Amino acid sequence: MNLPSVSLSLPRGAAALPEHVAQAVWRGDAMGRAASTVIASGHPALDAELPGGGWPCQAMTEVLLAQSAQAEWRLLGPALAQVVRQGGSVLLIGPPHPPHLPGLSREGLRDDRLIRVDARTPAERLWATEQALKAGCVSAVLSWLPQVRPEQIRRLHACAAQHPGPLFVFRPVKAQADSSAAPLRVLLGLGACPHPLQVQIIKRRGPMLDQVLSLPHWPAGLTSLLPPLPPRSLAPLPAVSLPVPASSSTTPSSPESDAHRRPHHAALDRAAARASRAMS
Amino acid sequence: MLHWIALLPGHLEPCPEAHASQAAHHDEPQAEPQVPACVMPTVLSPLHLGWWALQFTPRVALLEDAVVLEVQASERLFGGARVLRERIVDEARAHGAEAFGHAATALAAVALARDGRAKMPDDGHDDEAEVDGLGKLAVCLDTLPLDVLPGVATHGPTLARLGCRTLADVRALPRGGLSRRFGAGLLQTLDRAYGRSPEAFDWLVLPPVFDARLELPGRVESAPALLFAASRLLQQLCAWLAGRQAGVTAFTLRWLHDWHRRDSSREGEWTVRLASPTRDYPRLSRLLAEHLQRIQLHAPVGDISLHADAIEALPVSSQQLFQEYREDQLNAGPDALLTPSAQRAQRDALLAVLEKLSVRLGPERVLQARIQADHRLECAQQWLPAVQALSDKNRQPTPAKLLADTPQPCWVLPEPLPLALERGMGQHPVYQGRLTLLAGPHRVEAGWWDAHTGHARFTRDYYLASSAHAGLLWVFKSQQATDEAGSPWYLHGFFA
Repeated sequence: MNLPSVSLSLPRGAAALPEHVAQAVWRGDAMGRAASTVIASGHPALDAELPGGGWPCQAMTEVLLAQSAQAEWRLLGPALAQVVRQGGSVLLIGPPHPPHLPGLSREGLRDDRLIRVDARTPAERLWATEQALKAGCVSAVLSWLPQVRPEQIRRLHACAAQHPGPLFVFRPVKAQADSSAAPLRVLLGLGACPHPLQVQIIKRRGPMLDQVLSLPHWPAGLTSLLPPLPPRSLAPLPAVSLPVPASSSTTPSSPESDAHRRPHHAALDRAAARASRAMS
Repeated sequence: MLHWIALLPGHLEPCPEAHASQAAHHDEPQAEPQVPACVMPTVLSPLHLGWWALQFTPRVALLEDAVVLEVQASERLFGGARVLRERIVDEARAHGAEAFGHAATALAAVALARDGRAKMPDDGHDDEAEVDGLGKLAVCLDTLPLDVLPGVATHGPTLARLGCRTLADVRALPRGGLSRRFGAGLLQTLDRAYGRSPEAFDWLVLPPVFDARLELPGRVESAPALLFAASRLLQQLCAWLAGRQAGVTAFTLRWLHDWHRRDSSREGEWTVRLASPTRDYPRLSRLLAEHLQRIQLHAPVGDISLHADAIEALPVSSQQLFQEYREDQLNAGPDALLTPSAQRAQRDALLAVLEKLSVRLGPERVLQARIQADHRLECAQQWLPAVQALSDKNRQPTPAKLLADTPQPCWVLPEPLPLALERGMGQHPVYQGRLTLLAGPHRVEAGWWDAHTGHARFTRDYYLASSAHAGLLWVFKSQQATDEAGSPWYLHGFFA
């Protein structure tokens, strides 16, 4: 494995580089800058950890979910509301259930800006997503792709570069082990009873983030009905109970055990970051 | 001083298939490999180039194989003589025009255009020559060879034997002798070209309806293969629409079968409707390609025609007071939506992609909702085909504060899901673990007024419930009598 040695030689040479080249070199232990515009996620704790301070436009963001219809709108709602405020629209491709507009309009998603495309087969979902990305209109594309191969993700990622808005792809948690072309991958789960969002950034242009971010955000009007959040869970938790798929609910597994099962190539993404961190 | 522009169209390929098979590009993996998503535009004939040119000026005429436009009256509207000329030349080149010339008379413009083409036959570079003022015009024309001027070229061999090489040589001959030997036509042509006598033209007039027919060079058996021929007609349609300053909202493709079974009709037709008026050729061509994929031909086709059913005037984007951002849409980002013309372009782009999705998936699967004022979750929103909903001009924006009194979930199940009961201690509904009721009940008792629509009246107590794995749920307990086995608890939505 000669990858670390390649990345080790980089910082040493960086001092001798011309300025414009040195700016283009990203060191694995530093937070990357976003290549394009970003849309603030609306969660300050999350914005602080995302490269550029928000969800990237012109790029794919992968959201891994234990089960669909769990917390998508709570995570993305504020950012999507911003897209709508700016005059864009939101395209849902293959959503798991019909969205409920009376609830979403309270979050700022107007009913005349949200379009639902009921694509069923994986090929239809991919085709519809690609068409939406190639259309060149300012929109946020949300695509549910439960079955997708890495090369198809790569193709969508290439298409996303032409798209002025953000692209969010929802995939099951088991896809965590696969390599992916998406520059930002997020594992989304729920905490205990008032169910704060538990977000783990598993890939980003920046140093590895081991902690799980706990985002206290609920749909509008619901906060008064919920039990108070235990004070312990307000602080960022070090890898706690991420929910598991319903099928395997009898044997809950923690992310640490997942990490051991993670195959080789997923760890490769991190090799440069780890090596340069060990140096400094 | 008049300002004439002459356009020389390129040569038409005799067979559309031969050209189209090379020009077609494949950008979709899902499409059949031999059928492209869209056919690149081909060369327009002089008549259709003339139709297209009518968008700039009403004074368009055909002169032999050239199209001449008198644009002096339109210069100010289009931002000056130079801007207009550059625009016409750029756009005409995209429609297959090969050479251009402009001068104070139509014949001189044609002569200059032909001369440029003769020098650079295959090079598409700017062949236009700048001539202003009658004196300079004469100087410029004098050096041209004989075959560039339409009335002179017919006498070319005879004049060449007299020792004439250029137009100046012909003009140097005595007028009386020239008139006796070659007739009055030659002198008249020369005088008109040099601006000494007035020119007269039959101005080109647009036909009031568009109905074009094309006989196919071979028999076509499958509908997608009709795209190549139909694209040529679509291009003519776009030229006609450009002349009318309009966009099409519905057009019909008709075809005639070569032979047919006794039980089937000899003709077939397919109407394509658009959400917004357009004369954008790539959009029309891609949409037609999607439609052709759905057509089954029951016999080979020998002949097709295209008819514009409905057209609408297209709004002309007005001149901007400030220089508009001519950036790529990518870099413009959300700011791209600030100007009205950008908003219109965005809307058209969205409608175009939704149309395409609707054609392949079916309009009932590309949907947009309207919020209804109803407490029943089933009736709180009405899903409509998105293309229809977006192109509805009478749509009222939904008031923001509807039904603010109860919590509203973000996902809703189309049919409430019956929940099992845990029989251990008391009766607790179960959904991926035992549910904890956090808030409620919210009583919804409604629907007695429209029992006939299928949503019978009901009485339900809604609760906010928490499940260990599924998060926050919107469940209800039906207050109606159920049969013995059924549970009164149902899952209806997710606060996701």
